[in-house]
Amino acid sequence: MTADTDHAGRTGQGADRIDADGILEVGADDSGMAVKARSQKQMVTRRFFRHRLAMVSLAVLIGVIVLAYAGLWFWDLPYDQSGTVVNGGQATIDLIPWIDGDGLALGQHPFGQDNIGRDYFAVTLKGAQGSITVAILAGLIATTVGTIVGALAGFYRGKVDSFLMRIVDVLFTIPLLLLAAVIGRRYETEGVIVGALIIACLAWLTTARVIRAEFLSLREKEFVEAARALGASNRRIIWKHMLPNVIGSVIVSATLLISAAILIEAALAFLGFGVTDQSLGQQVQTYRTAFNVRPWLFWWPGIFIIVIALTINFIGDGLRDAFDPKQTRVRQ
Amino acid sequence: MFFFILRRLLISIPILLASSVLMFFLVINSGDPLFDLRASTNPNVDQLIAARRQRLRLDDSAWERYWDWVTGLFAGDFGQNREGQNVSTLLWQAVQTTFRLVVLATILSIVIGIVFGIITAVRQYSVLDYSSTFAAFLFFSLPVFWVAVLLKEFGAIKFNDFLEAPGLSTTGIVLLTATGSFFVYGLVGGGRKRRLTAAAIAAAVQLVALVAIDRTDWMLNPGLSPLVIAILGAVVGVGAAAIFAPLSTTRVLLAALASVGVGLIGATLFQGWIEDPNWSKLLLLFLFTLGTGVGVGALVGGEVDRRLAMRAGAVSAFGVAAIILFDQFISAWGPGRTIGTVGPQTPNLTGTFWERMVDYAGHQILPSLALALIGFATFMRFTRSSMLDTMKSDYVRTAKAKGLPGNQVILRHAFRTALIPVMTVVTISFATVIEGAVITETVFGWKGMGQLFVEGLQNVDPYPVMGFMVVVSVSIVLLNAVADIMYAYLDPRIRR
Repeated sequence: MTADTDHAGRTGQGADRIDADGILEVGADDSGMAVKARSQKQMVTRRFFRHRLAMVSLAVLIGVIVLAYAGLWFWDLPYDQSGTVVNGGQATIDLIPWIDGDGLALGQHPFGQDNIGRDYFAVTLKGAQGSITVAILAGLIATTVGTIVGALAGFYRGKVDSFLMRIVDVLFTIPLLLLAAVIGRRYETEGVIVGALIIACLAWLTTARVIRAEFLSLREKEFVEAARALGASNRRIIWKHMLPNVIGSVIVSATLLISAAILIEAALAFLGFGVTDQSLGQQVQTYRTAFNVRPWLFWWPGIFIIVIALTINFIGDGLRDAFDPKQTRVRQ
Repeated sequence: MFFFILRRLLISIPILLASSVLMFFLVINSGDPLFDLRASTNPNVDQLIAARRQRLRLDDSAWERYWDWVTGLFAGDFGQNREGQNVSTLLWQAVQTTFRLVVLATILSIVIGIVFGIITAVRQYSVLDYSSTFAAFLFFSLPVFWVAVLLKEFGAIKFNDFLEAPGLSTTGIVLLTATGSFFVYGLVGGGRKRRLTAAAIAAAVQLVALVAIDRTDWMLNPGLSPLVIAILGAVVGVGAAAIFAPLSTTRVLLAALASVGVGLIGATLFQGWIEDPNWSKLLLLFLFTLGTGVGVGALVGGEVDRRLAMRAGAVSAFGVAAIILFDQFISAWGPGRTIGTVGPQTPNLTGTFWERMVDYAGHQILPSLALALIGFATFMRFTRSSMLDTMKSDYVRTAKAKGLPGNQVILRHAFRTALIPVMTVVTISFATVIEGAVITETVFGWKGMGQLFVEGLQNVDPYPVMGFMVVVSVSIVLLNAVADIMYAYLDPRIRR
């Protein structure tokens, strides 16, 4: 048993290192003898591009984003105009052509129509636009705020640190979604930007803690001391010397925040405290009761939410692996 | 240690006060508390507005209202909602309802998550590992409300329809069998041949069982026959013995099987109690079962294996008891007692103990499942990485090198250490669970804390919302403190 597991474990590990993310390939060529010099950036990009799942996810995500933003340009049916309901509003898209043999086809209303005859494809795309915009804006703003707060707290320590971290502690006693709901109740459907800001000003806490911890350990490193001895200002040390060292954590937490923001926005809309007027969550909420009559009105926005959140999570995972210095070890 | 805990709790008081100030001001400014009356066409609307202004003290300054609320809090007064009901009463009922939901969901996600975390860590890079990891990522990305609505449709309405006229199609049987065998293939260690054999055996067993279930209309009249109970009991006994010692340790195996036998005999003796129990009888039976299991282990175990035999006996006695109770439970699943979609139980239900249990469970299972999905993903991923770290450590290698069987190394050496960081996640994940509970309660129409919050916020009714927030914030702060303390206590490297 022991020997079996051991053996299987070791071969398994080896296989993964080659196929899943090319961890083995760090700096070594095929023969494994000559070592080519690569910069940190090159190694990270290389590892990321070898992460198959992350690459597939990236392609799918870009596809969804392009569809959401460019799709409405080419799609001539408007999202806000009612019309006559054709065939009970059934979805006309044909994704499994081998069943009835009609081939891949979009049809007149690929995602069907709602009860007042709006084309649901256009409605879903509009919602996806809203959700993606909110999520990306919120994720980027929250990451920026979190990084700055974490960097300041970790670098200056002392009073600055305790002040900033007490704010974080206070906000941590209230679940994010519920705090956002209270603020969302006031700024209901004010628009995408306000929605993104509301989510962003609550979501930066974890990032701040992570970056602070990294800064606390970085500021004791020799290279920081060397920079200081050479007369570098605090600003220069933070920007030029320390921030580049935490860039991995920053990027990873940005992706995680974006996928969290999609779900938070959707949950807010579902609870009735939605922050935007056009979003996927809003549509799930609107058509929740239509599930028995027109199930497709419920399915499409939900599937879009899942695809966007899932692909971003996979990309985040790929990035985390790529930035992880432990992964640079050549196979023992 | 005492001062550490005291200091930890003292620091949290100003933090809690600050967060309550923040929430109070956000809530009272979240909208117009008179919005529904302003749109009202009621002839005495002016009176109503005046009454509400007085009740919510809209003419007083916010600080005054906050101060009175906070000072009232220390006297146990949570204020009144806009209809004049005491928030503390409402809150107490809501907490009980939500507590049931949260606790069951947490237990479900911890148990399943840890089991899958260990399996995926031990069988790293297997198909099972990859599919579980994928599932975890999927669960992370699922909107809870979307899943809850789907569960309501397919888990309750469609499933109830199915139970009215149950019948498994051939495709259904094949699909179920394939899933089970796939799982077994991933679970079993060793070479490809061994795993394929195991999967084939599993497939055969499942096929026989499913066809038998289908042919005998088991689902219309569920229950386990004594023979099935005995077979399952033997399986549990062997499994329990295998956890604690290699199966070649005859005394441990013997103890487990003997304890199963004693359990079965005990069940026939206490038939009356088991068929119509109450909680105290069940507790007595439970203690009695544990006692007999340990006793049998002590008798059979001999000098060397006594402690192991006692443990194996207790676990298998417990397993047998679970099987017998499960039999009672599903036997009570008569027509009409189906999966509920609204509320935590059928109102005004009378019936035997087991019928009430079936009703509770039928109402509880879907919301808990919806809530447990995210937690499951968290626990699985966390246990997996923690377990992988531990498996690489020196003392595990030593245990292996000394010739300890694989499952002993995993369960008795690696698993315990790996659990330390996982236990702290339990407390920290509370905020996520509460968020999820608010949403699931809304979907399933439970009158719990979520409803208190959502309704209060919609009505700009500050005190119910604040009552909810006090409970949640205090729990979060306390649980974080517990996490710190537990970490220090559980990890001997940190403990002084």
